[in-house]
Amino acid sequence: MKYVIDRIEGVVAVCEAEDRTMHNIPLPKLPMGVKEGDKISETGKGFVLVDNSADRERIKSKMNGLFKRESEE
Amino acid sequence: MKKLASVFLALIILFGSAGCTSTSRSASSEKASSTATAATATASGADSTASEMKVHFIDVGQADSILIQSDGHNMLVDGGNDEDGATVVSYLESQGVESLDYIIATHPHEDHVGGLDDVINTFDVEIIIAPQKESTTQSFESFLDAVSHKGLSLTAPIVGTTYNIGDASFTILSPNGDYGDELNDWSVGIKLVNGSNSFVMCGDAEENSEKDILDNGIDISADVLKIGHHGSSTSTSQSFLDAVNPTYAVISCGAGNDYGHPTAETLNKLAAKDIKLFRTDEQGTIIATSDGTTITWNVDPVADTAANPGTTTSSESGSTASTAAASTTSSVTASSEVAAPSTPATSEDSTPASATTSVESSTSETTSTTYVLNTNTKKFHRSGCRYVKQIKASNYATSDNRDEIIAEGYEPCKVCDP
Repeated sequence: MKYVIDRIEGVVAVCEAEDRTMHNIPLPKLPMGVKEGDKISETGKGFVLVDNSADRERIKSKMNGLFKRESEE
Repeated sequence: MKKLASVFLALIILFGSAGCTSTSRSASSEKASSTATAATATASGADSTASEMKVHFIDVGQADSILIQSDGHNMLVDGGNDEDGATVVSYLESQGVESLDYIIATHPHEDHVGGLDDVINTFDVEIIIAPQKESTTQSFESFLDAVSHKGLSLTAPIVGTTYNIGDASFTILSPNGDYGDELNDWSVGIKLVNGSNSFVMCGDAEENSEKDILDNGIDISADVLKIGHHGSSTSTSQSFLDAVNPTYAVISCGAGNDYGHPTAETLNKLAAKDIKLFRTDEQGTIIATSDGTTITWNVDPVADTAANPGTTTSSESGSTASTAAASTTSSVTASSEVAAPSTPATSEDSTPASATTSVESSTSETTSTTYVLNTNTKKFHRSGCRYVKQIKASNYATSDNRDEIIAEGYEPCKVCDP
């Protein structure tokens, strides 16, 4: 199962699974240095970081396209 | 005052229209005419009884969703968790909402934007204000898709800008800069004013953003403060609380949440100032009604403000959707490690029973304090410090003995000054 870290509350990472359900995962179980917005995958050996930079770029571009032009200047 | 604000808004809209798509231009002109109508009504109705404004802090569990109504105009600040969409939509319908003049998506976290896709898909919406900062979740992308699908656009918050909502108005207080990946600090904060009554609500803005709000010079004193970040100790810094100096405070959080919200530290700060407190986790939806001079509430404030800080011992007890979501966690991700760690050796006044809670609430100066150590950098932090989030799991340690860790060569963080 893959998750996106929505937010970090203290030592808990609140994660969105692929089916959009939300899950609390203790931060120490996650790969070192994970940040909000990172994608992680649960494997037999625990969680590993998954590159989701393409997702970020796509969403960022979608968001920027929705802002009124004056706000981008 | 209000008329001036309207003119200001109209000017912004006029400037903003140049170069916009036809869709947003027509939305803008509609807005301009409705604003003008509101201003006229204010001017001619000055002698009559001030318009009633209602502020509903909707019970969406561990999340925020606030409906504001004035003179037939509606506005929604945040939409609860992803699975709260239907709850929020049905609440709005029950309050006679058919359209929303404004939606504010304070920041991209799921517990704030989650339900907004359903709201946007259901109601006619004019203006959506959101910080220009993305998240990579499906919840956030779904919000964007709903905005796009309805042919709407997003409006960036410009600090100091005032918008009319019926006979009331609100002024943007934050964000005051680029907060990088600190999504909470990107929160859109507003001061909502109806006659001589006022409310301040700043999403999950943490201490850094609160400091910048204080620095921007806008008068933030208010009757009511929506406590930031569900009562976490990362928000409601003393100087910010002193500047708002509210009579009432509202905390929107979920019963038995896994994050220890609200913290004992925050509750103690409110108690020390005799602020009357309302909590959605204990009282359900909280409704404040302002007639322009007085504010009345649908429930009495909680009896003991400092009592019942967040604890995770009863994570199954809540009835909200978010609690249900949290409870599904244990089977999937072994979150039992969060819910049932060893009894904390700290913060005797708050008696939380999870690692999360004990760390958060232990920043209270009056109790033994747990410091978070970075064994790599040899720095130590308060648990609420933003740098704690960046500590790698392998370098993470805690201690409640300040002298001992200093003797071991640890230095206090310059940001949180533990």
